[in-house]
This record gives sequence, structure tokens and C-alpha cells, in this order.
Amino acid sequence: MNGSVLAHDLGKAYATNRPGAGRWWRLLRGISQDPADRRWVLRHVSFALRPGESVGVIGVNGAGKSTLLKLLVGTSLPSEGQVHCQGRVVALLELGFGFHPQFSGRDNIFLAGQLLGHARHELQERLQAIVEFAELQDSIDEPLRVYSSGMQMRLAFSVATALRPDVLIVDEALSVGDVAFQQKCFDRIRAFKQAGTTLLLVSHDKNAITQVCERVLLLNHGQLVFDGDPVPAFDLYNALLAQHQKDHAVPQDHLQSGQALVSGTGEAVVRRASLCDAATGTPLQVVNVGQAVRLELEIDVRQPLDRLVVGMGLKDRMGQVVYGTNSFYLQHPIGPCRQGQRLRLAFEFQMQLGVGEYTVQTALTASEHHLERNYEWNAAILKLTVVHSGPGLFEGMAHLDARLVQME
Amino acid sequence: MLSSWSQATLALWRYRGFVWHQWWHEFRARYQGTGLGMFWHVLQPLTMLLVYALVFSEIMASRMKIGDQTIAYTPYLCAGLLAWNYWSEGITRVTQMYVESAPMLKKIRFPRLLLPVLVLGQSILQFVMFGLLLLAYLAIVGAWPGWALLWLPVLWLSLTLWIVGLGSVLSVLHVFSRDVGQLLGSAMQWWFWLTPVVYPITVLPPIVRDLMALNPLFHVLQAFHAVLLGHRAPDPVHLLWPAVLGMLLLLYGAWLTRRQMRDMLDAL
Repeated sequence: MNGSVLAHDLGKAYATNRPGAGRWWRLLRGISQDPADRRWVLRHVSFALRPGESVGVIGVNGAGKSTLLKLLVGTSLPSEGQVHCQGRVVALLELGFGFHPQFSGRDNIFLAGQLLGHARHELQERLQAIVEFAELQDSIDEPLRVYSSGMQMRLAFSVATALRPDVLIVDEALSVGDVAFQQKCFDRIRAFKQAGTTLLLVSHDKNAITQVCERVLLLNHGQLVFDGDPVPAFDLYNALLAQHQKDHAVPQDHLQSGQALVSGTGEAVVRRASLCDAATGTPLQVVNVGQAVRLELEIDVRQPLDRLVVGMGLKDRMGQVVYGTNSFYLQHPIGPCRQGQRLRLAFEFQMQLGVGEYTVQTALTASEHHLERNYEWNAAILKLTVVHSGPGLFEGMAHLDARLVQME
Repeated sequence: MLSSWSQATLALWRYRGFVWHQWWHEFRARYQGTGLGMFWHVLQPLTMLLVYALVFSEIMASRMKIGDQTIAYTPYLCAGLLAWNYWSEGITRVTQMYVESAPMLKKIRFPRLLLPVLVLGQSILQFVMFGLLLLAYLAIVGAWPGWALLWLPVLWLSLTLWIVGLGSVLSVLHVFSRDVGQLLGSAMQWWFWLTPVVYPITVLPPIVRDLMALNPLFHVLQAFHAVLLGHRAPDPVHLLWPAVLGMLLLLYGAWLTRRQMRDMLDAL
């Protein structure tokens, strides 16, 4: 039946090093990579989705979510087991692929639409609706290069969802234009779901998933560790996330990129940083706008210190500090500290920031100025995503929590 | 096997609009930003033809004997180049088709069998353009081939089978090692001079001529010369050798692609 998705003992491995001598001969005989020489990123994953079911896929970074998606879409093929999606699959992962900047918006509808497998006549029939949904009535005949990126994303989403797919795969990073348009996109996705589309939503956002999905697949280290109700799934996920943060005090991708993100003389270092809900203590990677949170820091003092100033800051995607403070500003003097002492501190605050991705930085200094006697400065100790769900939508980077009142 | 071929045909039909769009896109993009724009698609081959016509009819010895026939050198060279250019452009593009389309292959699912059709579009267009100009030239100099021209599409098909056949194997290897593309580039230089494009076959010693019978391009050129200059049907051997060899390679290439697609997608 159209819309069913079946994965049976699905596994994916990548070659760890390039095959050496004799590879040409093996290649020509149609023999694939050496089984001894692979690293499994996904293994023994089995599940079956009924048509019309909505399922969330969650897991900490590196759990195998993207690999699973690629296998479902068919842009990567499994190393073992089978995967099968019945009917037309649309993945909102690579929005705007197939667009050409020199052609008009109208031409691009056909170009990208046909690449997605829509027939020309199907697109022709829905042309009006596609343009209207993307709110581009006035500029559809202009070349795409004059469009803003928001306009391009709107058009891309509109084309990709012009026809109801049997299986729809949505990535959390789906950011199409402003908040109002984003809402419109989710309305359309919900309408598809009601009409019988099977929905796979990949996200860290508990609210987004619990709102739409009745079932959650939790991946960890390439294995399917839970398949069932969202609430227990998220409990387990939070436990795994806490473990993950312990293991990866500094985000892995920063270490790999080799940037000098940590500097300082090392008299005191942040041993561990974690972000959690202020009330429940659950670790968080995704925070709701306005949510009360705690940034917990464990600091090791390695030399006797007269005075220690502990600072933290939140940076947006452009690296701009949107908020920063320290123990001096907060009139909470620390020190003198003994050698070998371990300090446990927490900054408690409400996440009154706009939707987006943020990086947490920490600074340990002798004074409120971090350039002077800098013990340790970590430019990216944690990453977090701020999301918004529910009423009170807004735009911009600060949550001012405006209310509208009727005046006499 | 049969069902997968029919599926391929079906996919081709479903995506025909996309194929047209891509062809049109590449057609427009090639000379984008030039003042004369699409006229270059005619001007380039026209220039080539005129240069050969002028140089060889005025400066060099312009007539030569092939068998019992005396023919002009310019049409001989141009008929050879018509086939050779299509082949060299075509095999280069087909070999690179997976690497060239890596972003598309990694991001969306579409019938991968479309790729050779997509990449050959430009070469086919150039073949047709140059072919039409050559025919116009032949008509002007009073050497119109007449009914023998009906063989031209058959020759094209035979040559295309050979290109796609060899390309289907090389394209897989090229994904795993980009040396294959470079190697092909060098090989084409040698291949050009091992094929009677600019010189007549009669200048070769008999032993070399016999060895040359292994070269599919030799047969292709013999067939093109027969139709365009001899105004007669090509020898069946000249027609079949590239086609059969191409077909066998294509069967092997299709099997190989099927077996290696998973690793290819990982390697891209």
C-alpha cells in the first residue's frame, strides 16, 4: 500500500581506508568493499510504518539519523538488509536543489519540479497554486538570482510539496523564511498527514515531535534502541544525551576542525559544562523560548588563585555575543581557591532569545576583563538550539514577550 | 533484466521534460554572456569547416586516391572529424557523468539511467550542427550523397552504442579513481593518430591495416567515409563491429554499475 515504509535488518558501513593493491581487479569483477575494512554507522535497524503514520526520529549527534534518512531517500544504498518506501517519497532535506539562478522563478518551478519527478502537466496545472503559496506573484518572471534567500526557500518548499507525497521526510533544520511562512509550511505538512501521508520528522525538538508524532524511533550509536510512545522515548533520549555530554565536554566538530577555540594559561579549566532545565534538571540541546535553564559548570583549579572570575556568553550563528555576564558583574566573588579544588557553579537564566542556533562560551580570568590573566577561554563549549512552539510568535533575536492591549 | 530495461525506458519518458530542460540549459549556458550567444553553436563548426576547406583546397594537395576513387581532401577530413569529435566529446562526458553529477546523485533520487542521456545532449547537438554544415558544403561542391544519407542515423546509433558501452565501464572506474579520466585524455591523443582521420588508410602498410581492424573507430570512420564520400551503403562489418562491441561492453557495464553503485555513492 502506498505510504508504507519497511526497514528490515538495515545496516550501513563505510570503508575506513582506501583499498590498496588488487583493487582494480576486484572492482572489475564487481566485488564491493572489503567487509573487514568497514566502520558501521547503522546496524540491525528494523521497523515498519503504516501509511499515514507520523513518526519522529531522534538521537544525539552521530547516532545515525542522517544515514537512515539517506537510505530511506535512496541517495545511499544499504550495506546489509533492506529498506523500502512504497509510493512517492519527498524529502525536505535539500530544498532548492536543481534551481538555476539565471532562469526565472517560473522556469525554475519546472526545472526543480521535474527533477523531483513531477510531470510537466502536473506542474502546469498547479502553477498558480505553487506561485501563490510561495507568495511570489509579483516576481515569478524575474530571474532567481534577484530573489532573496527567503524567497528562494519559499519557492523551493512550494515546488517540493506541490503534490501530496506518499512519504514525507522532514528535517528539523527546515527553516523556510519567516515565522509566519514556517507556520504555513507546518500547516501544509499537517494537512498531508491528515490526507494519509506517512510522515518522518527528524528533530531534537520534543515539542515539535510530540505535537505531530504518535511514535518515536530513538537511535543511539547506529542502533534502534527504542520504538514507541514519544514520552518514554524522550526520557531515554535525555538520559543518553546526559551521557553524551559527559563524554564530549567540548563539541567534537570543533576539535576536528582544529581551530584554536580554547586558549589560556590553564591555572583553572572548565572540566564539564552542561545545559539543563532549571526545574527538572533534564539535559537540553533544544530550549524553548522563555524556558528557565541552568548552565552548569564544573571547574578544576590547578594552581592556587586569589581571585577567579567565571564568565559565560551566548553567541548567535554570526558569532555575535547576544548575552554575556560573569561572576564579577553578578557580584558573586569567587576565591581564593586552593590547588586541586573543584568548583561547581550554575548560571540560571531564562532563554529570552529568538529562534536559532547558539554557541555557549566560557571564560575563567583573574579580573572581569578576560584578556588580562586569562586562565581559560573556551569559544564553543556547548551548542544549543532555541525553538518556539505554541502561541506568541515573534521575529528577531530577543524575546520581549510583547502583549497587545486594547486602549480606550 | 528485461523488466529493468523497460523500467529505464519508462523513467526516461517520465523525466523527458527534465531532460529537455537540462539540454536547453546546457545549450544556453555554453555561450552565456557572449554577444552572439547561440550563433556560436553554428559559428564554431562553420569556422572549422571553412578553415579546412580553404587551407586544403588552396594550399595543400587537395585531391587524393582512395581505392579507385579520387576524392577531395576537405570532405574526407570533415567526414572523419564529424565522427571523431562526437566520439571524443561523448566518451569524455560519459566517463565523467557520475563524478560530474555527484551533487545531484548525493542529494536526490532520480533514475540514474538518465545520466548518459543528459550528458550526451551537447555532443549530439554538435554532431547535428556540424553534420548539417558538412552536408551543405557537399551540396555546394556538387557531391551530395543522395539516398545513402539514410544510413547516417544508423551510423550514429552504432557509434553511440560504442560510446555508451565503453563509457558505462569507464564511468564506474572513474568514480573510484580520477586517474581514469586523465588516462583517457592521453589515450585519445594516441587513438586519434591510430585512426585514419587525417590520413587515408592507403598510406599504411598492410600489416598495420590489419591490426587497425581491431580499432572500432577505424570501422566507424570507414562507414562514415562510405556514406558521405562514397555515396553508398557501409560495409556491414564496419557498422556491426562498433555496435556489437559496444553492446557487449554495455551489458558488462550495466552489471558492473549495479554491483558497484552502493560503493560509488559512498565514494562520490
